[in-house]
Amino acid sequence: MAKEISLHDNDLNSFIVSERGKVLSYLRKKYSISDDNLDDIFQEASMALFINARNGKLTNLNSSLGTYFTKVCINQALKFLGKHTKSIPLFNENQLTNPNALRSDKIDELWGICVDTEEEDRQVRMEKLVNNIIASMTDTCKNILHGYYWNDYSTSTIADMFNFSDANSVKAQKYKCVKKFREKYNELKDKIYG
Amino acid sequence: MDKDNDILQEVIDTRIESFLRGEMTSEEETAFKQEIQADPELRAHVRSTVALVRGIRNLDSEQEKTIIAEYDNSRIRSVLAWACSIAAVFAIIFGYQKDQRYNELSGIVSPYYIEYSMTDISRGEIDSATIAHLYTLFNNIKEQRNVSVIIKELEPIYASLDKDFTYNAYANAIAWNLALAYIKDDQIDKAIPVLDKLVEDNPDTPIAVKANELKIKLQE
Repeated sequence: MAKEISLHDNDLNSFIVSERGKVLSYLRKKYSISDDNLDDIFQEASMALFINARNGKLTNLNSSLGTYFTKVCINQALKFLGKHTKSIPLFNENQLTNPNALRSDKIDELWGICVDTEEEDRQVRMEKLVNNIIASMTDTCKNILHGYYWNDYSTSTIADMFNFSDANSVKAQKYKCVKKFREKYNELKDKIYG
Repeated sequence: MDKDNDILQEVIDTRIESFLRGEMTSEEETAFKQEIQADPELRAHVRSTVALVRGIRNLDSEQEKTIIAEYDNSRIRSVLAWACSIAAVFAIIFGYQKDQRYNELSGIVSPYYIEYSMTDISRGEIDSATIAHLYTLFNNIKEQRNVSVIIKELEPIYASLDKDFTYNAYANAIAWNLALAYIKDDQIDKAIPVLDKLVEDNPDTPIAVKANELKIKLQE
């Protein structure tokens, strides 16, 4: 049976709430707009996302939902600036995301080279292991890795969204997070594989 | 020593990323793949990094698929509801009077619709996304012929108003729009108590006057 949508238990609603902090932080850094107006812009963008969802426009996105929503918010901000200021800043998409997104086919190809033919149950255990390690990471690491590997945000965008001093700080922190993951992964993998 | 190792690992990570983003030439790709196959240590490094990338992407993609699918299901239900409406229109052509009734009820409620804009939202009460959704529902009562899905969403919120004060600031708007949706959906028996409660909770206010006026029109 199809899940009913309710205002109290709504995944899209939770998604919007979870995006709010980083999107507002990004807009605040990029455009000179007051907090009150940013609130209005975010509300308009949320409304637009609901309408697009209801009209089935989210089915074939060519980016993650987070990246799409950020772009909706940026468009609303530019629309606002168009009405209230004489000069509107240009939006360069390559500053928001990496010019070349991670490709699923390339990920599968590289994965295929690295893994031996494993029994199915071992693969399932390894996937659970990866999920557990990710879940146990700090919020800072999760924010950076999700932003980078899923949303394809550039390191400077991540810096603006999560209040890092600059893109280099994000790169350094990302490296530490990946290293930490790798250490845990190898340690636990050895236990599973013996 | 550790620093050298860090630099080496960063270089490998850069190559992995370049491969995954399709930025390598085919010669570079072939050379990289051969190195991975020949060097177990490099292979272990690449494997753990790609496991992380896959893990993150699988988790997030599952979450987003759930969100989008939820709305797609809702849309399919709306399309079905519309299909039912169309079927009803055909039925009317063959002698039923439902369309006439729909027009009659729409005529009664149409002067009472309120256009809700996001700029009306008072800040800091409930999260804006929830209110955006609520306002979308209100505005859709006017725009959509079949409002049963909207009624289904508004009913539990209206029922919770006495116990849960989350929507306190929007209680009248919720009640008013639920009443309009009931009328449009030909559920007059359910609309009357909602209008009565509005009058009772807001004596001598413009909304009470409107609610009474609407009730009289329904009784006529």
